[in-house]
Amino acid sequence: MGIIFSVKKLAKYFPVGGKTLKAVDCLTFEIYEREVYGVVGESGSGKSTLGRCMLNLVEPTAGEVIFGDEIMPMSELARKSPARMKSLRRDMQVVFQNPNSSFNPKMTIGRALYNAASFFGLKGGGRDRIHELLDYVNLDRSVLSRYSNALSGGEMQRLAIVRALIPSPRFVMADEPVSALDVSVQAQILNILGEMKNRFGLTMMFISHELTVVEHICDRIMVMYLGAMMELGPVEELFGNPLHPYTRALLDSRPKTSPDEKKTREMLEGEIPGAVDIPAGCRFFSRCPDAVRECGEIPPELYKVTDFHFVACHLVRDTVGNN
Amino acid sequence: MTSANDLISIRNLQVSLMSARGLVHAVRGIDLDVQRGEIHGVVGESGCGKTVTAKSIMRLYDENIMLSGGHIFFEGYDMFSLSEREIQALRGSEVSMIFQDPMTALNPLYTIGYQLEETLTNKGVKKMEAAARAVKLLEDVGVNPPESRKSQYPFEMSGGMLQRVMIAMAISCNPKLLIADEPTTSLDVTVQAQILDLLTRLRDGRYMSILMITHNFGIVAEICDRVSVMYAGGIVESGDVREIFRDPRHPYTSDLIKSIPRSGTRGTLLATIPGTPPDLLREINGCAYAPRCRYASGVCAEAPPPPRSISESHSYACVRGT
Repeated sequence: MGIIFSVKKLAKYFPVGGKTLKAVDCLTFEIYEREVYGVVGESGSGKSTLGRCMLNLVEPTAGEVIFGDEIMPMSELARKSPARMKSLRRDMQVVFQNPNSSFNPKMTIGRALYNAASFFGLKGGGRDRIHELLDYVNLDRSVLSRYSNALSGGEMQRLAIVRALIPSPRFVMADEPVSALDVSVQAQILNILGEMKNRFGLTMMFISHELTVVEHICDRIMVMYLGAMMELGPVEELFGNPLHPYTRALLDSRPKTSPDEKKTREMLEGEIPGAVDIPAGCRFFSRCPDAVRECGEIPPELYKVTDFHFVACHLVRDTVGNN
Repeated sequence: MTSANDLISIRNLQVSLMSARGLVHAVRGIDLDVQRGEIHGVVGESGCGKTVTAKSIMRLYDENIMLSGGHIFFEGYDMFSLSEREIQALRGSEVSMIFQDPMTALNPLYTIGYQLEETLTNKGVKKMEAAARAVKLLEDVGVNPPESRKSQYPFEMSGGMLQRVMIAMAISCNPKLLIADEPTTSLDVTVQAQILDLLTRLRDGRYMSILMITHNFGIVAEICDRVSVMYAGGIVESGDVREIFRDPRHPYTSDLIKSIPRSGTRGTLLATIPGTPPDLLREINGCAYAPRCRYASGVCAEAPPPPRSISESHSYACVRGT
């Protein structure tokens, strides 16, 4: 398995009223080719900021992101080279939560899509490619002459996917792509996103706060809290054997899927604090039901449970031993 | 007919809204009963009329909304025969409501303590007593420590805390019915679990009924006793939550439940519902779901399906027999 993304000690801080908000703090991980990498966490956990840093949309405060031959943050020289920026944009695309705000309401859908195609210099203006992709997402070609306000949320999200796929990217980031949609429409979009990887040989990163959605679609999942990684592992392992108290709490707080389901719930108290004044020890200390004194003082390292399963928790280190 | 155990009975409710494109038939003749002490879910997708139904009970209508027919009985009294003033007396003390976004429901310029006390003094509670009761209410809904939280402004509190404040305001005059319109949709999962737990405890402790408006079947499974499934302004299936999850009879209900990802759906295609809901500007003659239903036949488009009951606690509207 090749590595497509390598994120090294990435940090993004924002100044807030004389203090520092640490949205992403020293994150290191890799994304393998042709996998779907899930990032979950509550609002304020830094998952969208992480995504933006990786897409070169915001400049990180520290650390770097390696994508193919490109190292970000890019040098001044590289940034001024339109060819390099264009090739980066061709290789990495994004689908956002709200498709209506990512299309210009005064432009027909056709114009928006053909603009993208001509920017990337597709043959014949990209007509064949656009038609092929519309067929793939199961939309009639008549949408091309329409405006975004005449289309439903599900249709718009399918068009956002079409636009992202136009330049045949190697990597697509989906940031909460189904959160604004109704359940029946959500299923259509999830099916398309789930198939995309094989059909187009893509790698994807899937950002979501919804665990069932992430479980359905991802291969590996990273759980974030206050800008840091709490746990990382393959889906089966993370859902079958969650080790971090925060992961367990997240799984416990999912609503039942059926009223007959028996559930012993460990209710998590409090709410995610602001990312200003991050505590000295474990970030989850203030809400952790299992915390001991050490947790409030020393930040836990990432402990390796198996080759693919990592946990940042002192208590887990004591049970699995330090590898 | 309505029974003594019903707190609220909605009969053949029809509500229309004026839109730029014409008259939208948002609620097309629904029957719904909420019993005393139960949590009754109304579940459906955007535009199915669930919020308009909830607002009809409180008669919280925007100018473009008009009631075109039906009745709402509250403890046997026809609410539509009441004057605006009489309705106002009922709001808060008999029926109250919480909304999806607590931030926009509170006034940003006043402390939450002031706003909470105001709801009490408006109902004739003396100032001193209102202050004491406000502290007690905040404590009941888990806003801690209540004394210092009282002097905070909405912007100083998180979404979860604000929703707790809204719940405190809503229950301040001991209503018999609390309408909760997507109360956890804008909250994180861990906070959602806390709010659902709080609502269940309040129901148990106060023997209050809750009408839970949601698009999330998980919330229905979690806290509701009975549920009504809405589609295109009508109720397609209604009854005991367990029965409906075990044995959904209306194709829309089962299609919707099947389209939710869950453990075990990984790597599979989710069931989808083809097409889109009907345009409610037009008259619908037959079953509203027929154009998207895989079982639909000629009769479905001709006349509205008659309601069928398979047990005292489970009914649905579909011609397909069992």
